[in-house]
Amino acid sequence: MKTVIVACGAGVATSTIISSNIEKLLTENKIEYRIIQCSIREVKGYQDQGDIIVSSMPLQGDYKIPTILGLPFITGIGIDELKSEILSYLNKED
Amino acid sequence: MGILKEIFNYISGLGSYVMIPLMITLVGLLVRLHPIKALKAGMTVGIGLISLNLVLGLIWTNISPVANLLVEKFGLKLTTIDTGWGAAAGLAFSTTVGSFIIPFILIVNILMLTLKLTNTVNIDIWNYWHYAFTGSVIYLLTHNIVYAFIGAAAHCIISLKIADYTAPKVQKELGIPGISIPQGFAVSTVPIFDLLDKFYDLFIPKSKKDNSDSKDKGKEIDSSKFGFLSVIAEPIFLGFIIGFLLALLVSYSIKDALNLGMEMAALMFLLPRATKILMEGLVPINEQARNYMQKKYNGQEFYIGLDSAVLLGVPTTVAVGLLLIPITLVLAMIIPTNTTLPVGDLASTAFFISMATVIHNRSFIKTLLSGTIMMSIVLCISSFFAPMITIFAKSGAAAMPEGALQVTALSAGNPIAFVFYQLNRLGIVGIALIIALTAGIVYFYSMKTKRETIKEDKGVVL
Repeated sequence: MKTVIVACGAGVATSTIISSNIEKLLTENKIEYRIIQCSIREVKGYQDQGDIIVSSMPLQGDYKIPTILGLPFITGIGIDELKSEILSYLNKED
Repeated sequence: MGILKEIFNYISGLGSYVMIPLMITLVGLLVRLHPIKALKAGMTVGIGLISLNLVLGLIWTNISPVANLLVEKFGLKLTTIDTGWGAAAGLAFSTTVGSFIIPFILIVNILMLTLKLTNTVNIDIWNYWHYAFTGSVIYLLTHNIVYAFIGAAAHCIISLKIADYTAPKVQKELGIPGISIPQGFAVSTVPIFDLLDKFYDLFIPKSKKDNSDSKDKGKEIDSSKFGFLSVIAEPIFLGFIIGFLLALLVSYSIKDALNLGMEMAALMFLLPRATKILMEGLVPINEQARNYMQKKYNGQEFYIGLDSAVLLGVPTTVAVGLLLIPITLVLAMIIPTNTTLPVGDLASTAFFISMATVIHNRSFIKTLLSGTIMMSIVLCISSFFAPMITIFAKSGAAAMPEGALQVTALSAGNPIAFVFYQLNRLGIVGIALIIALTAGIVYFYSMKTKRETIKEDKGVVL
């Protein structure tokens, strides 16, 4: 079971689109997952429970788990690279 | 014509819980959604609206008495609750103007692109609520749907122009090429921060100015210095603390204060979730629109317009955003024209200064000063709009008790909406002025963008 933290400005709109894309991706790849959708201010509070953070904005500063920029799901540019990046983190170890 | 008007009157007479789903379904069909999907989208938006009103009920029943006591005891006229941008967005989308805003703004954007007046393809459809809001307050004032849509279009056009202008800076800041930020609030802050930046430079010695860029970045303040603030910045803690302290201030017992704290925490937790339902309803319409725009405009020469949230990871923005929480609360108490008790949008203070960080080259001091000034402006304007927003909220049929609080959102304290509203008091002259002003801004920023691009190009050659 993998936990993906999906964050955007308020944890409402943009992160919903990113989440639904990740759901599709992980289901297709038969990865068991759980998604925590939240606002950027809540990310640090959730990071202990997660495997990766996918956010709508570039995150700077210290995070305990890998952070990935999920913007391609919104802009449509570079989606394939983003998908394989996410999978590479989640397939690493069990 | 008569029959059309009667149909329209009948539909709007059904109340927004029925009218809005109908309108959204219609818009869904317009963007060629499957009828069932369109209906589901419409109903989901309606359900979001109902949830929003249920949550707002918390304010009216539990928080109103406290605010009344604040007036009685301290003469603190904080009679308006800031519900946060989510409620404002939901309410803006649920007006007559709001239900048609998505296709309308798309058309305006396409026109601007076709006329080569902008490079920005604004796919950040949720933030069309800012344009819906501007249009809706104009409609409330003038009852003229044409004026309302002119206002919304003008706000959108100004946003696209300012987005083009700030695009190079934003791309450099984030290291993401091909994006711009036409978010309706963020753009309204750009001219203000630009002016303030020039003003600050008057006080900075020239020698220092030359390498202020690198120096400021070296001094960048990490938000971890405000560890305590970043804990209470989590919406539920923020809500609890404000509720608890307010209750103590008006001498509630500890038991009642704890309860009010929990109710405020619930408000902070539930409002975004209620909004999320409404936004979920808009997802299919959003996707259709985005796919269409992406297919149509996918060349190198276009900027993809995104929410200002993409800037919220910048450390200066995070740090100043946290400091603005206590600053905004203090401002709310000392600004005489303010009636707003900041709550909901305290969770998103960073949004208000996202562009300041970019314009001030990440300078902490400048961003903090600009942020304080901006929040003062925002408090005054959101207090001004409180009666209008309360009317939008009431039309959802939620029972509002007598003498209850007004509602507003700091994020609705938009300077552009404010200026347009004031101009509309002049009737047709005001509309002419809005059009002239917009044309002037289009010209001004076209020139400015051109000049900056030439400067950039020269920089590369050298």
